Amino acid sequence: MQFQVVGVSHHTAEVSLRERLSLGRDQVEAALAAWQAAFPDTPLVLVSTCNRTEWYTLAELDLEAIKAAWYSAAGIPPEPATAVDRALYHFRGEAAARHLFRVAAGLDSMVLGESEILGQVKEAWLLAQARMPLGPLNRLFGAAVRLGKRARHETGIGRNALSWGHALVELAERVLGPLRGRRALVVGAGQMAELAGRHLKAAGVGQITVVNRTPQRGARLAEALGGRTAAWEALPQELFAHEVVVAATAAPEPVITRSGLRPPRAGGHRFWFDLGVPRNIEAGIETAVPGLFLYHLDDVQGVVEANRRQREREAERVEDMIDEALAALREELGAAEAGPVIRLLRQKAERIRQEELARAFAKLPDLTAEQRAVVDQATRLILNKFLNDAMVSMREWGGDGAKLPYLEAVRELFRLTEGLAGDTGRGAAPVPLPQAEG
Amino acid sequence: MAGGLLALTGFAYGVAAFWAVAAFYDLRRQQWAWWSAGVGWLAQTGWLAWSAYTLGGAAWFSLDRWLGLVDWISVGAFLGVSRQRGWETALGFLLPVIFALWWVGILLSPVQSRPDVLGALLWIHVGLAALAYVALLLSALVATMYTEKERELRRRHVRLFYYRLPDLEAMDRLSARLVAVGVLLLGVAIVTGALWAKVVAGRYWNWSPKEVWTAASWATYAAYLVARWRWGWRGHASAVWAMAAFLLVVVNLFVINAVFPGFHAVTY
Repeated sequence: MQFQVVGVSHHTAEVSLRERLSLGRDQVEAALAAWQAAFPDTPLVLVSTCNRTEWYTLAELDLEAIKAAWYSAAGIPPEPATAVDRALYHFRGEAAARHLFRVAAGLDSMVLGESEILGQVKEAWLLAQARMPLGPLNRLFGAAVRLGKRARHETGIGRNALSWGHALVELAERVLGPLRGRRALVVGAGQMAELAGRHLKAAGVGQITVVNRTPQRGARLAEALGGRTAAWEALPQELFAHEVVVAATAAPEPVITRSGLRPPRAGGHRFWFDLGVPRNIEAGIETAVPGLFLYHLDDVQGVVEANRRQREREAERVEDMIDEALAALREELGAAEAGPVIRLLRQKAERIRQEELARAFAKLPDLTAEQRAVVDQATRLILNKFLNDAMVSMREWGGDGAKLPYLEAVRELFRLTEGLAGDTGRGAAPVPLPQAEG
Repeated sequence: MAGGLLALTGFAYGVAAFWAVAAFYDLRRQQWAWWSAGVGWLAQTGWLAWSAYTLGGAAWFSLDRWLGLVDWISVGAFLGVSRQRGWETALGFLLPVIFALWWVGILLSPVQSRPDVLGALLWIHVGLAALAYVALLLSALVATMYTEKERELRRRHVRLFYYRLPDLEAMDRLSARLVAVGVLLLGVAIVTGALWAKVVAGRYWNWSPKEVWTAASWATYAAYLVARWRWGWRGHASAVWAMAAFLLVVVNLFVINAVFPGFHAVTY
C-alpha cells in the first residue's frame, strides 16, 4: 500500500508539545491549501485533535517535505527541531493503514474505545476531500470509517464506563434502565456529592434532592443542580422517595443506618451509592431493604476496572477486524491498480482470439453451428485458464506498493495501450455464431 | 420432504444455539446465531406447513408437532426481540432450550393420534394453549436472564451478563407482562377446553389429572400477578416465582401426559 503517515500523539509527546504541533480548523484548511499548491498531484488528509495530529499522504513523498510543511503550518521555526522530531512517529505502507484503522476504532485513544475520534477522522477526510482529489486515500479513509463503525456496532469496544462518575450512572442504568425522569437523592454537599450529582443530572435524572447537615451548603448545591433540598431530619423518609441515593458526606460514622429505617415491604429496585470514606451507609443494610443494591466507592472502582478489562478483551476482537479490513483494502486497492492493466490485457487477448477464430472458420466453411460453438468455447477456456494466474498475481501486485512497478512491466511487455478497447480496425470484428440448428 | 425440513430445522437450531451462547463472549457471533436461527425458523415454517397440508387439522393434536409450533412461535418472537438494543444476546437463553425441545419432538414423533371429534372449540383450545405456554416459557427465560444478571450485581463482581443483558427493570417488566399474557390465554384455553368437554363428554369438568394440574398452574401464575399488583412484588422474588411456576408447565406436558393419559390422552 502506497501510504504513509507522520504524526504525534499522546503516546509520544507531552501536552505542551502536542499543542505546538496541533492545528486548528483554520490552520488545517490553510495547510491543505499550501500543500495543494506545493504538491498538486499528491493528496493529503490532516487529522488534528487535542490528542493527536497526523498527516496522511502517499508513500512516494519524502518525509522531510512533510515535516517542513507541518512545521510551517504550525508556525514552528525552521531550526534543528530535534525535540519535535523525536516525538514524531512515521509509518509507511500497510503499517500506515493499520495505524489509521486503530485510530478510527479508538484503539489508539487515551481512553480505549472512545467514540469521538471516529467523527474526527471522518471530518478530516471530508475536509480534505472538499479541497482536492484524494485518489487512494479515499479508499483508505472510507475503509477506516467503515471499520470504526463496524467495531462500535459489533463489539463492546465503546461500551462501559471508565470513570467512577460514569460508572455510577451506568450501574444505576443497568438496574433501573434509563434514568430520565427518575428521582435521585444526594446526601452531602462536598466535591464528591457535587460530581455525582452532575453526572446524574447529565444522565437525565428528573428530580435531584440534596440533603446536607448544613442547609446553606445543601441549598447551594441543589441550586447548582437545578434540584430541591430537604431537611437533614427528613433523611429516613427521603431515602425511599428516590430510586437512586448517593451518600458522600465527611461524617466519621454512618449517617444511614438500619435503626430508624422504615423500608417498604416490597417495591421496585433501588441503587444506593456510598462514596464516603469512612462509610456513610451501614454495611449490610441491603438485606433489610427489598430490591436494594448498595455499592461503595471501591465497588464502583471495581466495576471501572472490570470495564477496562472488558474493553481490552473487545480490543483484541477489533484487532482481528482490522486484519480483515486490511486484507479487504489490499484487495480493493489491488483491483483498482491492476484493473486497467487486466482489462487491457483481456481485451487484447480476446481480440486476437476473435481474429484467429475468424480466419479458422473461413478456412473451414463446412463446420456446423455446434462444431463452431465447441471451437469457440475451447479457445475461450484456453484463454481464461492461461490468463487466470496472471490476473491473480496482478491483483496482488496492485495491493503491494513494492510490486506496483510489475504492473507497468506487464503493460510494457504486452504493449498495452489505452484506446485498445475500441481498436477493432486492425482485426476482424467479433465472429457472430450462427444459431444452432434443430 | 418433511424429514429433510425437520433435520434442517434441528441442525440450524443446534448451530444457532452454539453461536448464540458464544455471543455472550464475543458479540460478533450474534449475527451468525441470528441467521442460523432464521434458517431454522424458515425450515420449521416449511415443516409445519407441510404437516398441516398432509395431516390437516390432526397435525396440531400430536405432541411433537404441537411442540414444534411452540418452538416456532418462541423463536419467531425472540428473533424480533433480539433485534432490540440491549436484547441482542437473548437468543443465547432461548435457543439451547429450543434445541432440546426439538430433540424431545423427535423422540415423540412416532406417537400419532387424532381426536375423535374435531371442532372449532378444540382448535381454539389447542392454539391458545400453545400461545399461553410460549408466553410462560419466555417469561421463565427472561426471569432466568434477570437472576443471572442480578447475581453478578449482588456479588459486586461483574463479568458477563452485566455486559450482555438488558437492565433489570426491563427484564422484570417483560417477564411479568409475559406472565399476564400467559395467564389470560391459558384461562381462555381452559374455558374453551371445558366447553368442548361438555360437547364430547357431557361435563364441563372431568377432574382429569391434567385438568387439575393445569388449573393449579394457572392459579400459581395468577397468584404471581396478584403478588405484583396487590403487594408490589418485584425483582428477585418475582423472577424466582416465574421460573419455579414454569416447572409446573414442564411437569404438565411431559409427566402428567405420560403418567396419567386419562381424558387428555387425545393429545398423544
